Amino acid sequence: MEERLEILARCELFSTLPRKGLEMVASRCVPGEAKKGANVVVEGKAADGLYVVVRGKVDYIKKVEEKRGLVLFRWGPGDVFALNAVMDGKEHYVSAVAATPVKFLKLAAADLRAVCAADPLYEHRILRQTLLIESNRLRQITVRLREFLAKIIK
Amino acid sequence: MIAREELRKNRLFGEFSDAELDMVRVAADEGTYEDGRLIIAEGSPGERLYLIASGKCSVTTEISGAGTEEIRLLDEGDFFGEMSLIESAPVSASVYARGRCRLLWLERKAFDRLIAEDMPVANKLLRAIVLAFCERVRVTAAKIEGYYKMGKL
Repeated sequence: MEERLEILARCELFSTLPRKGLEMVASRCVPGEAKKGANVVVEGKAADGLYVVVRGKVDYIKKVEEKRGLVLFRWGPGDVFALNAVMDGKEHYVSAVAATPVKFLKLAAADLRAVCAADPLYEHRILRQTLLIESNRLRQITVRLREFLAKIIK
Repeated sequence: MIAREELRKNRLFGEFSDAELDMVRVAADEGTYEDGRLIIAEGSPGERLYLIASGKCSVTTEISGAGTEEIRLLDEGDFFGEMSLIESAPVSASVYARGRCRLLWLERKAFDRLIAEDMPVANKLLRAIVLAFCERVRVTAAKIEGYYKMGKL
């Protein structure tokens, strides 16, 4: 449990939660692992939870052709992924593929909702952190978009 | 003062009660921008959350060696400027009035006060912004796919 708490405390999404909130998240997380090359989440599929990387690397891949994808992000220990789809309840907009053997913690969407419902402060802090995370990702994706636009225009 | 219904039409405040909308009304300002007028400039410090009450706004960015490109067209009920308020970072794109548009806005201090004063209200607002961010990330990622294919043609 202590190890799990340490991992979650380093994760940006949960880093501002008070100890009790962190314990609630930790008690509801389920550990999992994936072999190199395995899909952890698949683009177009419904989201059932979010993931925190414990060990290894995960690539966030946007499918651009039948058998080709572009790596938009690479996540490492402490990073959270599949957050977007859990928050808006839609399908995953990218696939998450293990770039190395990966260990992760999974928090089911229903458990995230339960944590948020337990205390408005927990929800507040999780929402604020979500905004920082998604805002940063939006900036990074926009940079990629500019690069593509520049290539096309040139 | 700004009408409640005008605020409620904005996707940020659709779930707000009358009393909650009144908290926003007293803090918000309003103004009209003529076609082509720069509203916020890329790279400048963001100081306002803008709500589009009527009209359209064009979000543009500078592409190195290619000039200015429109990356998004915002419509009535949309909002912009929130990223800089949340991150305390410079504005990531410029926004121009596309035709005549009427905007409402919250200055940074008013936005921070709204977030700090009442947690249920703050959470409603943050949830709405999170949903909009999620959608923008999706739309931008989908555009990358489209541009990738165009680049190959």
